[in-house]
Amino acid sequence: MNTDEFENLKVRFGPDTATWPAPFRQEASRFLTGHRLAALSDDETLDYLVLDAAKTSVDETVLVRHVMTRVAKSRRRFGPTVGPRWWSIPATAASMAFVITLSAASGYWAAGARIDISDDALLAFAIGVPPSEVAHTSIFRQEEGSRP
Amino acid sequence: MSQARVPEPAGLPERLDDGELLARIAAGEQPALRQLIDRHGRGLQLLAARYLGGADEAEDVVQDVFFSVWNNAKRFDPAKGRATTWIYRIAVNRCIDVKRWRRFRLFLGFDDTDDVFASDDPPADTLIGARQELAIVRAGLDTLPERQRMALLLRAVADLDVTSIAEAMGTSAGSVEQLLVRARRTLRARLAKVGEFEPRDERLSK
Repeated sequence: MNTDEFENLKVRFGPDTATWPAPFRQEASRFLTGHRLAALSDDETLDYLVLDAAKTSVDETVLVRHVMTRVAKSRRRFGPTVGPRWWSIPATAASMAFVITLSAASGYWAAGARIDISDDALLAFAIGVPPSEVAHTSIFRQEEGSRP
Repeated sequence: MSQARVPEPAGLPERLDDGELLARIAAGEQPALRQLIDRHGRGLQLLAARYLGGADEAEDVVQDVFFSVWNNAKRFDPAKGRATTWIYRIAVNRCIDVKRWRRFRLFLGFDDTDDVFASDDPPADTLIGARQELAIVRAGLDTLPERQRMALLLRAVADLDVTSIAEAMGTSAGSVEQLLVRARRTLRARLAKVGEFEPRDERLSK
């Protein structure tokens, strides 16, 4: 941080550097103490190194614009927001589980009325005759609508 | 750079603290949200970028944080903690969600690697071009366990104290102290390995 940057931040956040947000506060503190290592503990020295290592270019103006656009969009939209961005893992897993359960239940329900046909066919297959020949000796009750 | 930028007028006549800004956001005042982003946008983005290892994802995370603040500011209770800690807690949770999602994609085979951090060693070009100790710390941060990395970043970047870090991470103060001790010990060991970092007393005696 140089003097110009410090003065700009004073205009932005006020004269009291203690009320500045992080990480501007730490940078101002280091600027004001003139990088005096004697005033810092080993942990503080390392923390400053970590802060320097984390620094990258950030444009808050762009950030403000993007967030305010999202806020404006959310105000225009009616009903709950649904989109890929908002699909969380639990919600996706629950939806998939529901679909699988529903499919299994539908399949079981649709196939359930013809179970006796399969039993006759299996019996015919076991004794080696066509299914039509076992139809009249079937131990399974013929239900209305089922095939012999 | 963000320090040199003179901000546009935020629409609020006075400078408010974070608690007051949240109260106004809860009342639907967009200028208050703008001022909050102006105050914490940079800190949150540095935290997320260093934790996740990517500036693009970090910006998405920070947008999500402020959008969440806009929608949930009414839930903030000043009696339960500081506004800054509450905002950083949202950011921590969002970062963890992104990490989990990345791991899930890796499990499904959509991604090649969980971590965008390439290797344990700093790239050669960073060692040549930038200050060596910063490159070592950056590489050291990238290889720290996630909870240690988060605790150290909340301390160094967000300037939170141990109690606030514990609150933001949803753990105990004792656990945070342990995480910080281990993280700093690992970084010091990396720096000592290449002779770049000496304890303060040794530096001053030279």
